[in-house]
Amino acid sequence: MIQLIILPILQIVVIAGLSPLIKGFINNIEARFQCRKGSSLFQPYYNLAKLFRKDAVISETASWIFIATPYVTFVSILIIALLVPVLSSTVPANFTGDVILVIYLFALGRFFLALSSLDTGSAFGGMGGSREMTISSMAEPAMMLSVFNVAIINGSTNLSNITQAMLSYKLLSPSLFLSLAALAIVIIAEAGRIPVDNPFTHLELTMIHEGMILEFSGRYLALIEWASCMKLLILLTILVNTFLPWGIASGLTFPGLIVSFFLYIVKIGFFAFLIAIVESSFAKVRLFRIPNLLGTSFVLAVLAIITHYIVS
Amino acid sequence: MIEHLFVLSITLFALGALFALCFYKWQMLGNYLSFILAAIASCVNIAIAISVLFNHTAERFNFLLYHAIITYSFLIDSLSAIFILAISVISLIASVYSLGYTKLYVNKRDMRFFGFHFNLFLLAMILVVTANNALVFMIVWELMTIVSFFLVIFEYENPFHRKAGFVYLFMSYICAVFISVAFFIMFSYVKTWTFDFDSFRYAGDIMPAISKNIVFFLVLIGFGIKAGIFPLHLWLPLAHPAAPSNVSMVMSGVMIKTAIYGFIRFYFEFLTPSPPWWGIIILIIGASSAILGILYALLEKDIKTLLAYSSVENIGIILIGIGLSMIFKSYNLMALSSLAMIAGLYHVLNHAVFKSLLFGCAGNIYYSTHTKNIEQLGGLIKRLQVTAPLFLVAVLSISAIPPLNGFVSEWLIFQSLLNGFTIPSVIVKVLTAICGATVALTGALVATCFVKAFGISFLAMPRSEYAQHAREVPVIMYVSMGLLAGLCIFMGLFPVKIMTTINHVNTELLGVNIAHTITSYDWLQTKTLQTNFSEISLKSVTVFGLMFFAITVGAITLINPGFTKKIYKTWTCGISPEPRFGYTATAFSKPFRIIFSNLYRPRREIETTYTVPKYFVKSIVYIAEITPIFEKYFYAPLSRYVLSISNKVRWIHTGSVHIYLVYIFITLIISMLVIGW
Amino acid sequence: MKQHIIVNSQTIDVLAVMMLIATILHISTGRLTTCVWAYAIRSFILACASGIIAYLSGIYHIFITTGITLVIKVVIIPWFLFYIIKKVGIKKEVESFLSFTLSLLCSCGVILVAYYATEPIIQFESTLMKHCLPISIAITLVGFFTMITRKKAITQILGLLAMEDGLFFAALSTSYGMPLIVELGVFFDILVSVIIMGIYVYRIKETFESIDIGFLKELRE
Repeated sequence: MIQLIILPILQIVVIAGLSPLIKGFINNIEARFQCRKGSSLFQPYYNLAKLFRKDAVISETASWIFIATPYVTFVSILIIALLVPVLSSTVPANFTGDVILVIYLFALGRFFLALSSLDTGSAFGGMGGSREMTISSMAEPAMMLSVFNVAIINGSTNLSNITQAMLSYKLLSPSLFLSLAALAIVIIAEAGRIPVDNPFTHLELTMIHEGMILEFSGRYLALIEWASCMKLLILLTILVNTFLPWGIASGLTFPGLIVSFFLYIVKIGFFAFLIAIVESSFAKVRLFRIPNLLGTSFVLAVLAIITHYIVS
Repeated sequence: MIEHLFVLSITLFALGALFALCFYKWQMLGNYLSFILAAIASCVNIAIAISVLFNHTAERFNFLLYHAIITYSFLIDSLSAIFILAISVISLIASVYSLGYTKLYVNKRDMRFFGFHFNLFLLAMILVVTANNALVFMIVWELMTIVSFFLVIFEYENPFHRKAGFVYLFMSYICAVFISVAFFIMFSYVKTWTFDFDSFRYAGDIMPAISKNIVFFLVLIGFGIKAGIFPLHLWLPLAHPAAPSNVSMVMSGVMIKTAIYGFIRFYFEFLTPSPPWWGIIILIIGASSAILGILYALLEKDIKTLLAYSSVENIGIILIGIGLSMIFKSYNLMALSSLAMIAGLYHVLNHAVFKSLLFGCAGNIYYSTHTKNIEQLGGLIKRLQVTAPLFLVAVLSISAIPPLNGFVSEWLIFQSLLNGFTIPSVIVKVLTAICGATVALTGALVATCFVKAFGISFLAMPRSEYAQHAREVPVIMYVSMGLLAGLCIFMGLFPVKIMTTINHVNTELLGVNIAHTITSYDWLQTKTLQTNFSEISLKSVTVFGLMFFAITVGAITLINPGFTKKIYKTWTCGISPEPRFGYTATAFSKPFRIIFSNLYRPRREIETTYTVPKYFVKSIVYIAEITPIFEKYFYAPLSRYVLSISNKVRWIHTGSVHIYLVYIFITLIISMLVIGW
Repeated sequence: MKQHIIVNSQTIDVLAVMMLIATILHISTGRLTTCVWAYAIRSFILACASGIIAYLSGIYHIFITTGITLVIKVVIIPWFLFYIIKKVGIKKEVESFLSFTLSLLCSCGVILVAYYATEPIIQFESTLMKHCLPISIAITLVGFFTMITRKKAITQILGLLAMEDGLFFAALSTSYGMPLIVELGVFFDILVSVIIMGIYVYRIKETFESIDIGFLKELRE
């Protein structure tokens, strides 16, 4: 019984607490690749703390949508954190929803962000919103197909059941491997990392996600920044705990959770490192080349389904 | 009891129609009376539908009028009841909405026929879904077409509206021809002179495969035109913008669903058992309608045309459900067939609710700004303060955003598609997976499309005088729409009630009852449907969401209690902000115009005029158009061909009455000879 | 009987899928250098696969093949191609008759055909072949497809190399490779043909100031 209360809280604490660290880690690694010393690993925490204490400036054109957006985005991400297996493959809130709900909750946050980007009446916001919606639309089919494949192989769309089923595999089957590749590309697009979007850019015309949130300040900006860190971590968690769940605890035992926590850190750290490598070695692709990239991901996902259906 | 209520509702509609005609001087009074009577009649129909659905009794009644050859027989089984429910709820709300909306036309035009046609239209739809006789069905079907035609050309001075009306009428007639031929082919096998549906119910067993296939295609094209599937959707984007908004509410919300009703009647009752490829064809048509419909909606600037294209998309999604149900049924996976059917019918109800709400909002926008072009709007959220949240609810639920109702049917569709892996054929399995990807893409495009529709028209700064001076609409209009918004939320949070209701249809139609397997406790699941798939509970999502919201707000307030907001101008690189800085609808959908340029074949022209050539630009004219490929490469050659044929046979028309009489006489003689032979 | 050794290893399947991914990378990228990298990666995976097969099946002459693959396909040929690209000063963009998305979808279709055609065979065969045969045929077909659609001479070479990789992998996975002498011959052939074609690319460039093989049509007169 106590498990039903502690585990969800633990999940949210881990996701919300670790996510700025992952961002700091990626930034730091990238700085080192560029032969800089880089900012502290904890810089994102300082930024958030600073932003939370600041007052906000709001455009006079903006309406209540603009104020509501940070909360909607943040809350939708928190709900997702409830549904994703993080440290234990048991997820007490499993009945609440499955991976399809997760995808559509991401859509909820994105929907409001895109609306608020139009709300202030600045051209940059609209541009960011339009591009974000474009990229996410292009990413959706590949994402859904790879999720379909995993769901069909494991007989469930609930993430916790998927993780439990995956634990019995010794090695990824070829079909799952293709799904993994497809999902990895999609995650880069969804999280807005290079080569799809540059999170560090300050040139208005190249911004996508940053363009959308240009007008936010103070606590609103903090909520959105935090939500986007959490989004990256959640996407990585889904990837890790769906395809490489080995070592995850399956109940709530203290030693199991500790082991699982360290393995989780290692796995997430590995993928964060990969992201840092990709970001340092590729340039952002042109906007209209992104469909090629996502098309590749789609083809991989289709092949994943085909290999599963035809071969096994 | 039910029979009396049914007669009562018909009488009320008829009375309403007559009242509207009677008052010449106090036209508005007549109209109000007719709308109120229509609303009451709709309430009666809701009662009928609910009582039939919950008593599990099919009601049948025959009215014998004086010519004995046709029995006016009607049957209300659960399938009819579901459709009656959808139609009546929307009719009720549209009637109440009309009380406010028709003020737009006060003293501007003759309103008598509006109330008349409106009531007849609502009545005809109810009769279409209850008719239990082929002849009666065709009569009321035609009635529905004709009165809706008159409603479409209500503002007949506008040549575009007239053109829209004629296209609609023409296509509806083709549709009627196809359906009647289908009935006749079936009749030639069952040979029951009453033309009763009951006799057609066994047609599938008697008919040879080839004629069944012919009937399949006839019905597909016939009802497909009414439903607006690609590429037969031509009339939809023309007729919906032309019709007054309260009429489009009903037309798009429920009239096109009568075609879905027709599909289900034919494919699940008359033409059973069906081969798998029928379902596959429906599935493919559904998927392509969904994707193409929303791609065209995405580029639309006229809000009602946008909504019309989005109807095409939603019909596509419904057909995916229906087609999948047919496929499962032909492989004898009855429980899954039932699940897919629930998904399809759930989307029928959902689309009825949110599309009517959207058309209502479009009506509010038109009422207060007199324009439908979203490029001219902007900033309405501060002027239409009640309409804005209503529109937001509709937009969220059509984009399948949880926890609103659109998500439930989208989720059910995904779950049924996922279950496609139980089908033995590899090709069909792959097809269902690809359809899943299509639905996902469609969902994302819908979200983009409606971010555009809401964002451009309601947010930022007003781009024209109309939008600047917009005022909120009469109370009655947004109260009635509030009901629909409430339904959107209710059907999202408590889907189990709706699903168990729809399940009654399956119990009758497919002979399986999956009520206990799709619901456990009070949240939704498909757990025991052969596969151990999934469960969701949008209610708990909402509860968790509200909890997190409270915690977040509390925590943030604790961190910085003395928080202040400064209101200042938007940053526009140092210039003071103007409406033209904001993103426009054209700009917002530009990436799609480039990515899908193979489909759209966009044409753009830029004309620049200079004050001093090459350096000081005076003005730039930018024209961007897309080529409607179906119109250009399918309909235009077809109509050219038809016209040239008609030119060739023109000599038949001499203008002489005698010659025409000769034609009739010869036809009569020949047909008598044929019958005798 | 060496032919009847059944190597039951999912690793080979995963490697095969990785080769397929590298091939898709080859089609989807817009840069010549990335194409060559994709080739090098694929060859490396191929070498790994053949090494594992050699180890598992105990047919030790496959090790020799593995070594030669590593040397020729992973090192020499990519190096030579990079050298040519640098020497000729080719623009880095890949040019194609079809748009990227379209050629991606086409090659997806081609891969489907490969799976579909081999479905009857793989039903009755060892688990090793289940993915290897369709994937190797798919790689061959996709190589063929790139040779048809791509404009530059260098991309022709890459297409040919993909076909050779596919065939080699097919032979390796179905019958544990061809006799050593045949394989050596094939390697030598490939090396020589790549070098000859490289020289041709250079000559074409010198004659037409471009390596678009569309210009070869002018030689007709």
